[in-house]
Amino acid sequence: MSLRAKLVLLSLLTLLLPWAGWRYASEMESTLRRGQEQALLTTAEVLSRVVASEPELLYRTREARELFDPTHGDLFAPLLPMQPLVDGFADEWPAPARPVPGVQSSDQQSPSQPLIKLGVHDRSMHMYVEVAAPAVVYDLPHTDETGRGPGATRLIVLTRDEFEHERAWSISAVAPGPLLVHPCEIGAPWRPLTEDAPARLTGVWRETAHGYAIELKGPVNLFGAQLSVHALDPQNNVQSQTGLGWLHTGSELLRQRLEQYAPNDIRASVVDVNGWLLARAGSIRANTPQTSYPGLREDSEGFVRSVYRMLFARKQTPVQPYGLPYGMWGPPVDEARNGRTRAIWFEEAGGEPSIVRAAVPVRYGERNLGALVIEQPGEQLALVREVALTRLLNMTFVATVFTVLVTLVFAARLSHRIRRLSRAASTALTPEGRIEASIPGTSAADELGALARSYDMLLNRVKEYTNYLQTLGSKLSHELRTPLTIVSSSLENLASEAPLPQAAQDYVTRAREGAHRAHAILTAMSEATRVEQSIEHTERTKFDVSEVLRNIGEAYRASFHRHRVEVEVADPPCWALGSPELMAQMLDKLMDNAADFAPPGAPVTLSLECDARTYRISVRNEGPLLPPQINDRLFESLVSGRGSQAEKPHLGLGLYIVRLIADFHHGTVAAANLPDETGVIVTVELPR
Amino acid sequence: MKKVIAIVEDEPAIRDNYAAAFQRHGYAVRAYGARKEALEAFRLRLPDLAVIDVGLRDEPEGGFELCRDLRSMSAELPIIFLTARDSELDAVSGLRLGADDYLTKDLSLTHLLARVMALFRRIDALTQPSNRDQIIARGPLLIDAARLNASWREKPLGLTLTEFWIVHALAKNPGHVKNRQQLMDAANVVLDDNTITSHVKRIRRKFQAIDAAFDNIETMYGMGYRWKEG
Repeated sequence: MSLRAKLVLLSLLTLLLPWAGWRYASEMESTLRRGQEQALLTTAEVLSRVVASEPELLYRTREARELFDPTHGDLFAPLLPMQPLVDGFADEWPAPARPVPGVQSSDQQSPSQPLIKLGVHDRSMHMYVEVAAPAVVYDLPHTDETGRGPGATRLIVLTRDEFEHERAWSISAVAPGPLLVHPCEIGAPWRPLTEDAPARLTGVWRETAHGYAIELKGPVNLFGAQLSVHALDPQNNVQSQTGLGWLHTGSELLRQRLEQYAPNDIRASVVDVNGWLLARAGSIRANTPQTSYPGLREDSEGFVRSVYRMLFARKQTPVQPYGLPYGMWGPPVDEARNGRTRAIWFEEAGGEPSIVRAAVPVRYGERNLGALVIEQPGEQLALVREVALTRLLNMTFVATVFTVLVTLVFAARLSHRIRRLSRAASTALTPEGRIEASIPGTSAADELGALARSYDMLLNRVKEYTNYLQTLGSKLSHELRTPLTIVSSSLENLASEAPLPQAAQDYVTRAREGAHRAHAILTAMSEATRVEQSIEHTERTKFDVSEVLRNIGEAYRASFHRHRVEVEVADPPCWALGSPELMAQMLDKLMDNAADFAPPGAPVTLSLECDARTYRISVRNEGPLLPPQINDRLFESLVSGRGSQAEKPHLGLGLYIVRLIADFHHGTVAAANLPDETGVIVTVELPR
Repeated sequence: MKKVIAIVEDEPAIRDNYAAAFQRHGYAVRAYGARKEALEAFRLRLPDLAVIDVGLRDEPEGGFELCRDLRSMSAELPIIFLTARDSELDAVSGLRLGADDYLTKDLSLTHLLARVMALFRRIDALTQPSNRDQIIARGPLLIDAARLNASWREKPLGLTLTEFWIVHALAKNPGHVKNRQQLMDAANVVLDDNTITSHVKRIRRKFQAIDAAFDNIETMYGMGYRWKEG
């Protein structure tokens, strides 16, 4: 893994920032939630005390609180959110949002029992009754006082107030349309009671597929504590009827009271001990706060928004139907009815925004009267959180991108510097064995700069050392030449003196031979330097390589008489740019080398191959193979593959001179063992 | 009267050895160890021939300077550089300063003496009528072996002694290949192949200075050189 990748990975740690921010935002949100819940519960508590101070607003009768049970025929009249049109149709009547035991719906009508719906709006009681009847007989417009008319289909509504006082109304019609309502004697419904006129009930009669439906309204106080309905046929036989059930209603007064006390933007509801909704006031506006973040409105759906919703699952409860407007059954109302306070956050649903709903019990003394439920839009808080989170996320995203970019640039720069350094270090040593490249970036003040400086220092010292080694030969030859000259000139003077004794003459001769050899060695030592100097002063001319090789091969045949010199040169001239003298010198070195290694009498082959791009000059000899350990350094200065027992001095300069001359001709030189491992071939490749 | 040879050499042992050798052959020798000392003496009286070392004590190029000064005093005075330095650059600059020869100290005393004598001969020959027998003519090349003089198309080539003898050896037997050893023997020098090559190069250049089309000295690769008849 490269340094760059590692640093980029490291910089990804900045992604921890949004995570920490998210944690912080969540903490903040739950604190705010708790605060809002607490505030809401306090408000609910206050409201519940207000409500509890007037318990008569909750229950019209004691029985409504204690005995009310719709499954046994008791009837509940909820507060209707809007006034139904009295037209004989129940379409505009609200149905409970979920099945409520004891509340009938139109499709489960039984022939033996009329369907009754009750509702309170303002101060009126609305009533809707559907009766199955085989036939409907209408009343006559002018029924005589005795009521002994031909008889008609009629509905008797019977109420009983808390003082056991019963009243009944006979309801009939002369035709579908307005009702004929008059109080009647209990037991003789055809007989109207005149003293109680006029009845304040109005309504409409409508014929249905199975019978008839009646919708009527009248003052709430006209209806007592209990209610029953009896459908009579024209012969005054009971076709269907309900038992006398307790009547329990929502409280308009309570609603007004709540309206009065409930703060803005809060909806307060009161349910009785069984969950029946007594009053509900206030409205919740779907908030559309003006945020500067498009796509962040509670009701909007956008990509960013969906990301947030995915990232931050809301701690909210999905809405479940409560059974409005009849009652509220479900958390947290149920807990409050049992005496515990609780607040729950709900998701938005059914056109309502997400809300927080707090419920507290309503207590009157020790007695639990019901529960007060308060609802407040909760999306404000969600928005606050999302706005904060959006800012946080955006900023940390920018910060992360910035950090990654900066790190990337930094890492790229760093690895570039390191690569530059390692490249410089690996190429510092030229193939000629010289140290030429300078180390870059030594001026930097950091650790890499220090590394570069120490590299530089190291290389400089190696360079000095190498230079010293390479010039050692010529330096030595130069320095030794003077004392050697003293020796040889002294010897010559000695030899020129008056005749020496024979023994002394021998010694002088030997000494002169020794001095002569020392001179030869010194000359050989500085040869490479002289070749380099002469290369510097050599001009390139066009010459025929094949001719040079042929001539030189002839010469070698004479001079290397111990070996069989073979020349394999193609006829066509091979023109090259360079110096034929240097070329000859190079071949001398190669031949010397080959002849040294080849056993006497063995062939040494000099060959030239020309192809489209290159000339290949090679010298091939039988003999020992290349020493494997110095194979690639064979052409460097002061490297020799020979043992130390040779009679001539070998300083490892011969093949180095070959390389110098090959370089001068822009060529390359390589040595290899012959494929059959009988000897060595050195090949110089020159470009055409 | 004895010829006077001045030796400027900072190494006393060599100086004395050379002095002894020259004296043995009948020359008067004046030896100096430093440039200033030598220059002062030269101002008083010029020698007949000067042998100068390039590096003189703490003056690495002192010999060159001395040569320049000496040449300004006399245009004809033979000057020989005798030095331990064998780099081609030094040789070229020494010869450019007007030295008649540039020899390395490997040279044996015998060879050195031969050269000194040859130089004196050249000086002497200038004052005597030329000897017909000693003149070799090869086309435009005219070699006066007595005066150690060579000219091409009647223009003097200004060869050093070594160069002269190489040309002489080549031109004496045109068409014969002279290998490097033979040329060295002819020139009385011990040189490595590389130095012979650069000598030949310099000789060619001197010819080409007069005649750009000169190509009579032919390289026989691996064998040597020969004079090609035009």
